[in-house]
Amino acid sequence: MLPHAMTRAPSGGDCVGMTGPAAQAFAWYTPVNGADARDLAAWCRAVGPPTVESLPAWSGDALGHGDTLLVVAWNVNAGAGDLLALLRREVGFDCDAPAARPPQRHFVLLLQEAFQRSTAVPPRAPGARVQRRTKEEARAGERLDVIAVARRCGLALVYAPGARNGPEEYPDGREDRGSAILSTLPLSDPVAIELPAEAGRRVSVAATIHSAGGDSLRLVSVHLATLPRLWRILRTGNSSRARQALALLDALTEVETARGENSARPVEPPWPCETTCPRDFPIATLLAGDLNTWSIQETALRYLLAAFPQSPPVSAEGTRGAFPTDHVLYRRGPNGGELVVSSYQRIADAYSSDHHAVVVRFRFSP
Amino acid sequence: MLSTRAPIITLLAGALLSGPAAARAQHATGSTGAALAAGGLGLAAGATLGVVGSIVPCSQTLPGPRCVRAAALAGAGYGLVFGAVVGANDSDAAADAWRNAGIGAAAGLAVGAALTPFVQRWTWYDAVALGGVGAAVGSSPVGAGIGFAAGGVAGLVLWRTVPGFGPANAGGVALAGLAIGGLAGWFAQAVDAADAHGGRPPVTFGLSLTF
Repeated sequence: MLPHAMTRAPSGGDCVGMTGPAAQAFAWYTPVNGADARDLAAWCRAVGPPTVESLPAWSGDALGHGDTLLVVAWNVNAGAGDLLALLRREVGFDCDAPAARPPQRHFVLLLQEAFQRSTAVPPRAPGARVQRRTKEEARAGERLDVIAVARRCGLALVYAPGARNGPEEYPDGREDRGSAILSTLPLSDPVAIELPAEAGRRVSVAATIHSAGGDSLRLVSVHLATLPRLWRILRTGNSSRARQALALLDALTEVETARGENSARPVEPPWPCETTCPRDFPIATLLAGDLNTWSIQETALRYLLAAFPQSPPVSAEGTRGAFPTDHVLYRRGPNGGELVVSSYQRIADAYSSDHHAVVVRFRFSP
Repeated sequence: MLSTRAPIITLLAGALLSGPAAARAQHATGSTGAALAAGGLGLAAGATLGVVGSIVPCSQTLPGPRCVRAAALAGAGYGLVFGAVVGANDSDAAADAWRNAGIGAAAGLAVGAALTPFVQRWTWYDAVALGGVGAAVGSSPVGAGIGFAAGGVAGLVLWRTVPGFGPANAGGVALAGLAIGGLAGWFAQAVDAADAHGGRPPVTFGLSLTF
């Protein structure tokens, strides 16, 4: 397998996707491997800046012990997925009804293929790599980008674009797409993890929420490679997603080390730890998203499950057609916290996306 | 839904391609050069078929790519041995295998080139890779065709009848069938070559085996 080691990187350079005031707020992690870095840089030159709006529109209403947090993981397929409708019908939160604020119950959305349209997304530069615009199912209602949704709903937001959403120019800018977290709770310590270049540029984002008692939960929105090129599949033994999963685990360990969370580090990378995985981790972490797994036995998912031993049982139910691509994984921190396993389910309505969302409830330990 | 036409066309094409070998006179002769040439082709074809056939099942194991590598090595060794047997016993059969591999490579390359403008991120590397797969399949077309058809049907039936089997596994069974059929085809070519050599001579693989 090609190398998967990750390292902390400075923001800036000629990569617009890693510049600007918001980029300074992120801790960036990138592959050590030079070939990955060169490939990723070509993609990064074509995207706009990331966004951090760490506070929701209301304040003072923290998650108490015993309260449950609804977690929704969803690949929204750029502008196809009707986020406002999903929030209204599945979460019970109407972004356009002032009476709904503050929320009756807290929730977070871990999104993949979220898009932003902005004039800050640069025109196509020489050498910059741009992929085609995502095909979207036509639907009624407004097509809002993730920043507009966050502002309209009063949600905290972290967003890091991975790649351009097509070369098209619009009167109000250009589009990119990437991973995002929206939350009714403040989001702190944003992290962007550029995964090894396998089939385009994929950036996972992480942020942390806190309970009223000071316990923490790190949230990670992940989107692994879909289908690498045939040449790469044959040359690497189809290890693209497995390599990205190992890189992600490596980056999370680096994050924990950099923040001093794992001073008593229970296990040394490299992953997979297989038989030596720890049972308690430096911080409770919930990782969810579109892993693009063809089956629930896939190597990448096995690696991640080994590192997230308190995950709910993996479901073979298809979330993109017949393929079980979307998953929620969890590992407990020093102060506990648990997923309400019985609440883990796939939402039947895809809300015009090509993926079904999956939901689960979380609560901090009393 | 799998078309029944595709496997039939594959089998007919395979039968046409292998026709000259079947019609060849008895008492064929081999040579060291033919053994090296067919062994080299068998090695490359076996490694490629090993990768193609193992990708889906190995992608569902913890060893993952290490499992694929092992399958490629096993396929390469197998192909080398039986390719060498073909060439050592029947130079014409070795030439046929190379000719069929060339046809397969050209077909794969042509399809790969045709896909280049339409498939995102599909490059000439991928076209060449498809040509390589075509060559591997072409070197043993009948076996690969039968294996793919049988694997495809079996995969489809399993997908529709076994809960949790899934479309990826169905495709994996089809590809594994193609690989196993292709490798079995090399074995069959070795047996045919030994027969054509006249009188089933013993073929030695460290220990003596007689076909």
